[in-house]
Amino acid sequence: MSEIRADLEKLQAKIEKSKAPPVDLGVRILPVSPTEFQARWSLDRESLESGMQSASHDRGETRLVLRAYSLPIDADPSDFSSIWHDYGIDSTDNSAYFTLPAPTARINAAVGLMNRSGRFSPLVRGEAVSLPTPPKEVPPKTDDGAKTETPGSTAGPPPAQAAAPDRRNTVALNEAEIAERLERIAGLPESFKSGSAASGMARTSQPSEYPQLLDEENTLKTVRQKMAVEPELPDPEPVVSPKPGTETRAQAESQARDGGSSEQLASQWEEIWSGKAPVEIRAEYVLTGKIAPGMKLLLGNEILAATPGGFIVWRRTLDSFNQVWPLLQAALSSPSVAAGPSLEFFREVNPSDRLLELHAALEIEGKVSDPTYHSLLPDELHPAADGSFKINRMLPDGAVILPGLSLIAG
Amino acid sequence: MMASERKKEGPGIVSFLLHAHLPYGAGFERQTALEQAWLYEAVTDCYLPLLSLIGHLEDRRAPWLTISLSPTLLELWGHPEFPERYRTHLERGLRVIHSESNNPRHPEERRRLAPYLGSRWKQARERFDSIAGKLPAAFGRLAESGKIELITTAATHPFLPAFQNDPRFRNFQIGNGIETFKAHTGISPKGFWLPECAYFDGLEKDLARFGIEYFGLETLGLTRATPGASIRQPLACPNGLLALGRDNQLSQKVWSARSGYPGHRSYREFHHDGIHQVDTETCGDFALPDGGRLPLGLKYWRVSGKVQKDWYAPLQAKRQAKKDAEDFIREIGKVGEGLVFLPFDAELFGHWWYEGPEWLAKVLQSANGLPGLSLQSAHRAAIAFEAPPQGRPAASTWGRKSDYSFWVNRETDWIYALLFRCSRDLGALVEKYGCAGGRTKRGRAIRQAGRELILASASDWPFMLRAGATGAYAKERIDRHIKRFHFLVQSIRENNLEWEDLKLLEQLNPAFKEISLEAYAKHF
Repeated sequence: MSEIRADLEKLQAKIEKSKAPPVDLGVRILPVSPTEFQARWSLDRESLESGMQSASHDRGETRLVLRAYSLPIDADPSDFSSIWHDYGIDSTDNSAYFTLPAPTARINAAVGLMNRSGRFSPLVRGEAVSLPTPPKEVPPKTDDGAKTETPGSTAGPPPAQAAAPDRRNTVALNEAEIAERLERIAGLPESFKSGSAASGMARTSQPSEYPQLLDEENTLKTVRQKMAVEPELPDPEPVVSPKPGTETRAQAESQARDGGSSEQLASQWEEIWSGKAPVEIRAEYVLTGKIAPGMKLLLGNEILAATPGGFIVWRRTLDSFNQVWPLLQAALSSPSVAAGPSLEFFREVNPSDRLLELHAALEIEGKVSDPTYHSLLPDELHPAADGSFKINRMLPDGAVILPGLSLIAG
Repeated sequence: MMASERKKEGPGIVSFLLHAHLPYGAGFERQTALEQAWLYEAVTDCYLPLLSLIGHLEDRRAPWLTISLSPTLLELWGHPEFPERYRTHLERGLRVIHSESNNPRHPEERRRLAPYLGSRWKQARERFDSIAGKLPAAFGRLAESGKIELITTAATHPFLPAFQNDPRFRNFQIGNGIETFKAHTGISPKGFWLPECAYFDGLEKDLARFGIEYFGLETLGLTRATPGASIRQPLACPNGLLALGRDNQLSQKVWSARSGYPGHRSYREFHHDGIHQVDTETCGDFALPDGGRLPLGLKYWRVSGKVQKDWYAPLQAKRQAKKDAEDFIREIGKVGEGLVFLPFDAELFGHWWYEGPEWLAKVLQSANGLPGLSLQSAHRAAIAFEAPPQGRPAASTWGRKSDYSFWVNRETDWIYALLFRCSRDLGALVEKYGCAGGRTKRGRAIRQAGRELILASASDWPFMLRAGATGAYAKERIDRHIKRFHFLVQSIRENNLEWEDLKLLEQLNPAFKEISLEAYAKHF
């Protein structure tokens, strides 16, 4: 037995030394639910460069888009369709969960570049997968945000579409606007505000060749400066609202509809979180990413454990309106269901050589037990027949760099 | 036309299917291991009692039920060290149980219950000895005698919908699963258990390549099929394979954590193990270096529904099992006509629900005598309908909301990224060097890489990660097999693999010895 153990130790040392290859380049789709899929994509620098050149895109205006195609059940793996949904992304190497506006039998995806006029040039294409079937027949929505294109027009959608892209699906991220908006919101944890002394938000230092690129040197500096600050996220605890209050729907609606659109939304969500509405809700902040072998990521004193392959998933439950609201507001205002700017060290190199990349997301799940309260939800949320709803949104980079985050070797 | 008009026999058919599965990993290179404890508990409380139960059923013209034995479970049972290790475990366990009766620090009730527990362990030992420690052969004999139908599943029970774009991997898993099953039982299965009951459109084409005639699905797989179908009869897929739909409503009476029978206050509590109250010296090998204990199964309490549990009362539990069986039979009787397909995890019976075998025996015997009702194996149930409706089953699982989210989520999605890459690398090796037959070092190394890949891809790992309790173990297992895979691939490419290293890797997981890589040489 001890002989085997000694041999095993020697073998293990050799195994640990062998280099794991990088995860595949391209885009891969994993089916989750009738309206949800996960995509993992990875573009090399050369593909991006050649794509920019061959498509003659306006460099400053071009952005990355994941286009999801809804397909009939009998479509081949390589099929693409004329019904699609665009999700703005801006990282060349990331994974995210995407929510479709309506159930679909099969889905395929392509990651590509979209220029100012809405012209889409795919860089990598995925293979179609079947999504699980919904338990009940879902009536088609009259306006589900989907677009259609004529066959063969992938590289150039109809001009009318291109001129007026659907804001819910394709709004470009304006970091400055988000930062400004966060500043004005009362009750926001300091760590999520920009510009303050306690800020943990990374700043884009100067206009970059590519939109939303982070300045590596300044980002590192920001992270190091904030190492001493404890994260302000709370301990994980699910939040369940108590039984419905005594308010009538009319009262709730009158409160919700007061003020401008932003205040209206805030009012609706505050209502949900205050326990006055018959709504169960649970929100989580999720940090995901990848870390190079030999590196460690810390949040305060906590090591964010990486999975085999170097993947990182770190969750923290948000248990109050004040914590959820600014993140939700930022997420809803930035690209819908889109991967926001991420933290990537050595972004200029190919994905496999990066030391670290991080992405943040907000995940909210809940259930409205009284249908008359559906109106409390923001327009972006479409509850299922049983009143359950779910929203997954990638967050802008201000939410990626938490205070106390540090990257160390060894 | 009504379902009954299409049937060749009786207005009602009831078909039970018990799927027995554990992930591979016995840790036999160590004296004691958590994996061994899981395996031994299931053997003592579930697999041996099921063998006894079935063995005592009277002979009839058709099998009583269908049992699915996963290839990994068969490989664990077939491990050369398993019989002796299990006997040693029983002896050591019996010593601890014996000491319980004489331990003055234990309450009197506990001391009185210990001999009852000991008698059950002795029965397990006798049963195990009577089959010479050969569980696969014992189940095989029951199938040969016509008491049961045996089927199997994919080699390591992967979540197949995640591999929709990797047909080589799917066929690698399905083919090796079936061949391993045949090697252990001598039976060519007609049915196939889809891991996690997980289906996506077109999966039946893979199964047809291996002579499979039917498979089971969650209710929704049929009710939301295209066109919609009823679970009261099989659905014929476009390629002719038959899909059976689980009766979820009836299943919940057994399966539901809230309202199912096993939650009754009279039944034995699963989660409390008295080993934690036994001193280290008495525990012997069941004591862990960190002060913890390996599970032994000193279960003296009943569910009772409160923190301080009542003492277990075997007779009371037995009476309750009889009552619950009668209730279930009444429910089945209400269905009237058509098919009632009831697949369960085998481990529910005896392991999770201690009185489950008692209940099952009573249900089988009663159902057999019900007028207008026919108790059938899944295969006979599937072919009992002369003109089943045709359609495409709906993509589904038996997980939450019948969707894929329990196996594909933020806790688990990274696994598939690694596995896709490994599968591609294995394909590249096969393309370059062929199917890796023979005993050459390279051939054996490629096959070992194949073993590491399938061991890394069990659906148990994402399940554990999502469920949380044993996530660290699952992560370690994936890490272990993926790293070994990369090491082998790199060594093969650089032609610097040492024989000793290869032999050690083969020895550490002596499973799927006859693994075939033919699927990677095909184009699907």
